[in-house]
Amino acid sequence: MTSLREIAVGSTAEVELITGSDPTSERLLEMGITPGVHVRVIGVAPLGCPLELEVRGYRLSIRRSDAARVAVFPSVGQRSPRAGSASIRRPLPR
Amino acid sequence: MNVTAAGAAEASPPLTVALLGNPNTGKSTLFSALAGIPTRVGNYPGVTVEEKVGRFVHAGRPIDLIDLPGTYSLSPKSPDEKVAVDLLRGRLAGMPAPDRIVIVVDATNLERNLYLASQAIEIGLPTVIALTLGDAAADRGIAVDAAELSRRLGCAVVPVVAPRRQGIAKLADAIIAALPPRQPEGLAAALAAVDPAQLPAAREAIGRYAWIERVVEGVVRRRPVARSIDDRIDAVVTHRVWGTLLFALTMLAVFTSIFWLAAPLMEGISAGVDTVAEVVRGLLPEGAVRSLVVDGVIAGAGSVVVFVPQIALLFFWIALLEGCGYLSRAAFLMDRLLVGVGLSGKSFIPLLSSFACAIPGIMAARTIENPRDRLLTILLAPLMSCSARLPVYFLMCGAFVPNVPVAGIPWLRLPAVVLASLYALGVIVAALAAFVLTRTVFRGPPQPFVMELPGWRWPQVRIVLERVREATWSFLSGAGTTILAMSVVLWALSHYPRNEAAVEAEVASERTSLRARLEGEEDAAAVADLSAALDALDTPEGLDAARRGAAQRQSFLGLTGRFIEPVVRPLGWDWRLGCAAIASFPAREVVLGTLGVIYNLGDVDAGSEEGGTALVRRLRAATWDGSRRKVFTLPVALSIMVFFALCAQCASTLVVIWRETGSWIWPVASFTSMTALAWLGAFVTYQLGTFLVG
Repeated sequence: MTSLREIAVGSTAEVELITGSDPTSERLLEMGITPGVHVRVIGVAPLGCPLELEVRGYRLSIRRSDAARVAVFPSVGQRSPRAGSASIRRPLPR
Repeated sequence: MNVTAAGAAEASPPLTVALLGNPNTGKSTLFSALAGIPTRVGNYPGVTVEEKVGRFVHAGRPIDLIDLPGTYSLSPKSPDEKVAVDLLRGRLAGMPAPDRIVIVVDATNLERNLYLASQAIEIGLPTVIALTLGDAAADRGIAVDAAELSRRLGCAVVPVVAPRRQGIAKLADAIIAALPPRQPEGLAAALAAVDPAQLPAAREAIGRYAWIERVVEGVVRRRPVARSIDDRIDAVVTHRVWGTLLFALTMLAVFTSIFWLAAPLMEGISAGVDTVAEVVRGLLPEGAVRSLVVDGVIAGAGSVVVFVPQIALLFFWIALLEGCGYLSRAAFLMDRLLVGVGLSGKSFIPLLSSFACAIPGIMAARTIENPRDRLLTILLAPLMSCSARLPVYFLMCGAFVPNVPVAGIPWLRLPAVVLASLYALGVIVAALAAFVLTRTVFRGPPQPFVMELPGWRWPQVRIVLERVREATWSFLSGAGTTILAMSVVLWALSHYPRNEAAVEAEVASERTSLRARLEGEEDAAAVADLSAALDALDTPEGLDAARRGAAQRQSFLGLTGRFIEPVVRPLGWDWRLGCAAIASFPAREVVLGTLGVIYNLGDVDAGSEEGGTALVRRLRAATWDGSRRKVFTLPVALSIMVFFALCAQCASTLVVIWRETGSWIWPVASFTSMTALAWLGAFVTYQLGTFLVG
């Protein structure tokens, strides 16, 4: 399973599901990170965490530990060169 | 449009209107466009969530606009959100459900905003949607068909540009005319269509967003934009190099303005208060009343007002950074640094500001939505070495820390190293305290850290000024009155009991003891010091200073200092130092002044060269009662500095902690634990210092 934290900066992924049923996963869902939605990873803070995402036309920031609970299909994205290739699964550059 | 607070048609009962919306939607701008300056600001009963109500009159109808805390959904996750939900459902004690709901919906971010809106419409109260930020949406190539949106949602949708007051009158008309909405078309069906295997919370979100996607289809038209404004700005602002540099420069500007820019303003206020005090002193006959008015009330009021420049400047910056969208980017950049101690990036600015003064820093913690993080930040803020501690550090370092190179590096001097270590000490102790607290008192499930990074926009001058006014006023009217009352009580404790005979007796015995020491003294410098002190007693100023010192030492505060001598002995302190520590409680910045009074110098300005030198000479000459052993040695100076670095000897800070947390538990806990820490730190420093230096 691929999670959102493994998606390279600049790439877009489609959300598969959010694991867990605590306030954090509930908040992620309420903020629009629902199954089927496309999430673009815009950047990473200089210290390596958190991530800056774009979803439903706005930006939000979540920690890498929380991004790990968002399962994604790493298959879409205008800027991701080869869908499903190793370049996408590569951990974010530090 | 007629927007006046006191309209003619007060006869009809006011319409209560709740203003609901996501954070960062221009809700406060809309509030002030509709209602102007709030007529009532307070706290909801039992919680520290701010209640803001503004009364205005439209078309002859008085309207009470209630600004609810910004929330993302009606299934609350924080006390702020819970208040909003309870109020809408009429479950808040003493507050009936509102007559109308105005939902603020951001046109740049329609999908996520409609999540809350769809939940609020379902409540069934007459509802109007205010569609804000249409101008920002246009800049991003987004156009929203308000009429079609209104048809699909089943309630009125009024586009407004609040900063330019466009659409405000129409919105007010719609508020008065609003009817209960019909259930939005297809929402119930969309919620029912979700896979029942999903968890309930997920079902709600999946169903609602599926419905929202259909609602916005055809309502929102996006013109393709090559590269959005937000993309271009964020590329720089969150860049590893440029973003960090910009952040450092911004924080430098914020810090500089509250650390240095505020200083002349604060001096101006002090000078103004001194002038008033002098005038009043001349008007009143000498006696207890004059002392109460001048030294108690006026000085106390001065000690309140003196914080205003720092508070106003910090909130100016916060409002500016929040208004343009940088505040959450700053939290984004710094988050990692604070996660380790159990906080989030949002605590960075409050803690940074506390290096200038804990009071604006603690107030700035209002920007932290998460109640646990906010409380923790408030409790850690006083551990940052504020500018009021600096004079103590400077005096002690200058007078008692030898100016020698460290580790053979010629430019690295010991006093500078000590000074830097004191700053580091506060930060390290704060980090350790946070580490321990998040694992004990504040243990609990992790709170969600899902932070919106709002679109970039120009800050609104009116909103910035309103934030500054609000923060200043809430300090003056809330904490200020308590600080003033406390100053008067502390004045009484440091002036009573007054026994002129006992004061004269102490001055006389001091003269005798100085003469006795002079006779046995052979060291030339000591002889000079002692005879200078004796000569001073024969001048009117010197005698007056000696009397004031004796009176202070015999006051309740002074007696407490003597009483606690056994407690401060292990720190290497004599009872006079204990007195000074206690007497500095009203305001830490006066500790040097207090030392001056206790050491019979009267009112010295320890900041001036002359006053500082006089105080240093007096401190250097100080000996333990009945012996020639010097009080001030290097280990004692270090123990004093460590104590002041860690203690909570600042009544104003404790009052602000009480105001901001809404409970006496936190200032009491803060004072007790910090005093214990300070004592322990000073004890270790002195004992270790004595062991090493001898």
